[in-house]
Amino acid sequence: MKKLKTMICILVLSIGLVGNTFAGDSVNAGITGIFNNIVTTIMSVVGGSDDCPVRDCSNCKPGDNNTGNCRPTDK
Amino acid sequence: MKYKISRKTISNKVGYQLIGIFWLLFLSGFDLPVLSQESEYLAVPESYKTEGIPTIKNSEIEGLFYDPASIRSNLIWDADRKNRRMLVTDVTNHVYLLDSPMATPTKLIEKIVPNSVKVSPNGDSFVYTSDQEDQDNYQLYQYNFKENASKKLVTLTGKDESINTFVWSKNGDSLFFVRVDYESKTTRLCRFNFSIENCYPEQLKGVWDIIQAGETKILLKYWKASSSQLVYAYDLSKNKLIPIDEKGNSRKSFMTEDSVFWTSEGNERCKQEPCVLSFNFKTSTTNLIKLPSEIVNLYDIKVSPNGKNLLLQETKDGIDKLRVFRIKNQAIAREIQSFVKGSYVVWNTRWLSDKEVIYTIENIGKPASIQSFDIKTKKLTDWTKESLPPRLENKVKSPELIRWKSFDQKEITGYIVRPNSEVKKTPVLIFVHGGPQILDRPVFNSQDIRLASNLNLAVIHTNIRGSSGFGKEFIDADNKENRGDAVKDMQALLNWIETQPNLDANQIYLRGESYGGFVVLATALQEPKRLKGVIAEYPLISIRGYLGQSWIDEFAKNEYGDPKDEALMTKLDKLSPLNNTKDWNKIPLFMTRGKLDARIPEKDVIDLKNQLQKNDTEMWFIYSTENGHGFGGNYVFASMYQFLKKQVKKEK
Repeated sequence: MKKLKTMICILVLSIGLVGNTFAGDSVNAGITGIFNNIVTTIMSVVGGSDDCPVRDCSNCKPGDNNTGNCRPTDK
Repeated sequence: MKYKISRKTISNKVGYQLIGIFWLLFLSGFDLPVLSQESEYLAVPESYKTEGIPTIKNSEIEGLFYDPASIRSNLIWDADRKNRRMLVTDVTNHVYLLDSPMATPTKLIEKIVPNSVKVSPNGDSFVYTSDQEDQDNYQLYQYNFKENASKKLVTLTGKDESINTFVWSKNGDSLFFVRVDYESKTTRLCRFNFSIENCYPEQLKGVWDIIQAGETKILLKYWKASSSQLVYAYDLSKNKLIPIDEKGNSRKSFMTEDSVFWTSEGNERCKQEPCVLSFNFKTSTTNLIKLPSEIVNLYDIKVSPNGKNLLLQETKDGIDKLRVFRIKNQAIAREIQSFVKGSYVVWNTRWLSDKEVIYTIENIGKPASIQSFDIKTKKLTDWTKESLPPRLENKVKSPELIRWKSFDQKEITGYIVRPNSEVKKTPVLIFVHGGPQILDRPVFNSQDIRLASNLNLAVIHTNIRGSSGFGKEFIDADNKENRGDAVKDMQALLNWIETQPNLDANQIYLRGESYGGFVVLATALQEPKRLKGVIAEYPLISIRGYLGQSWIDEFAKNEYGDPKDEALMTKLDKLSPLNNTKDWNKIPLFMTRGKLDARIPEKDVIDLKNQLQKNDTEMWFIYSTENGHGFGGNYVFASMYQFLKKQVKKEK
């Protein structure tokens, strides 16, 4: 009985002490979810230019990880 | 986007053991202690492969990010004149509907970022171009307001085809657009009436844009070179191309029922430059439009729908001024009072009606917001109001315009953003824009603010030769064999920094994106001692490699040169660190590359990375398997921040 209590105690302590690490995986989605939505907002450069065709000098492709560095072109 | 936990946060072995214990306890009904919910490290996106980038502790980048809801910045996609409303962006560049002034914008399109958005004249839908299916190959999509859904309109047929631009017909019953075939280097003008597509017989050589559709004519632009944008009209009934201006550089143009108006630089009819010319189809005569004498830096020109008012946008030193004039007897008459008060960068002006103008304003400390001005009632209306996270407030000084003389005495300009808490000698980060035919203007820039406030860096934005906004001669000054002169502009800037008492010439870092990446790499090759770190985001590495791609058109060759000109290619090869790593003085390099980047050859990027790694250069490299040209985001910014922080610390 004493052995069983000790084992349970060790198990509980193990969970408690390594909780942060263990929880890291399961709640990481939550953490990254926040980062996923945080936008880094606007950089200085216009995404497109009225002085070149779209394939030659636009670089407005924020993708999923939006940087928001685009300004709509006037085209 | 999916993320994975950083490898160092948990050892797999320990993790599996703990999962087992967890389940054992869970099944036996134990009450578990409350576990901490925080990961110690910043997650690396699953689609990223990184090299040389240390694990980033969240505590190290604490001051870098903020709640997305705390920032508001809106710009105009397009106006819906029929319903007096507009389509707007936010910081994510998605499409939102803004129904009325200060209403909450409704998100219509997410996950994709259109290149161009245009509302139908009857206000029931909008059409946009997107390359979501294939990078740089744009297709047409229509969003119907009633159905709240998008559908693709026409399909691409060529091997490397793109619908770069489109316009609505006057009554909204059809679309006119250009199919650019990058394989044959030709453009076709087409019309789609929402059931059948018809392309006109004339095959246009090179890359063309469509500007406007009239009843019988279409206004077109031929992209010969950035300093040679030529205006043509296409007569729909005669299937005939009418040259309007084949001499001057025509950046902006519009058409009324019987005439074309355009800005021109280099046309012999211009008495001052740029000027505005008109061409009458009936009389086939070209006239010079007399502009108010004080207008010298004309950036844009837009006529109201009824043709009675003209909106002019002037740009000087990056700051814009909007002016509206009455038009009488085909001439510019009296001016209506000016309405934009303060120093702002203005984007995407539109006529919301015959008497109402909409526009966005922003500057370095103010995110973009949208206003309208009623020229009859003189009423100014806010459509959106910007907001800024408290941690970004009052962190930087107002940007200062800077000028320096290059090796040939050409004046080069830029602007500097200094941290509010400036020390005796402030380290400097120099930013070089892509393009190169782009003008870097002092817009709201949260990255500058965060770098300045967290690392105490001064950020210099450059408009070296080749940038737009300074005339034909300047935009052409870096062409072909003169590419190295743009690098010399950068070296001259380093000289200028050395003369500045508050800037630390021993701590200069470079950052460039796309073409700007090429410039910063080339500058570092020429400056083995004066630079302490380089950031090249999705950079162009080798002009030879770039010009070797099948899609390269006349426009690109006019900018960079003929790839068959071996003497020129050899000269340009010497600018790039690729195959010249013996001259690279181990300056630490941060570089990114997107697998889907169809603009720049991947081989060049990987080769350079490998060569510099062999050279024992400190290399921080991010490769994204899901992104293309122009990618960024929080992980990239956090890594870049760590890179700069490390280099700055090293030099202290």
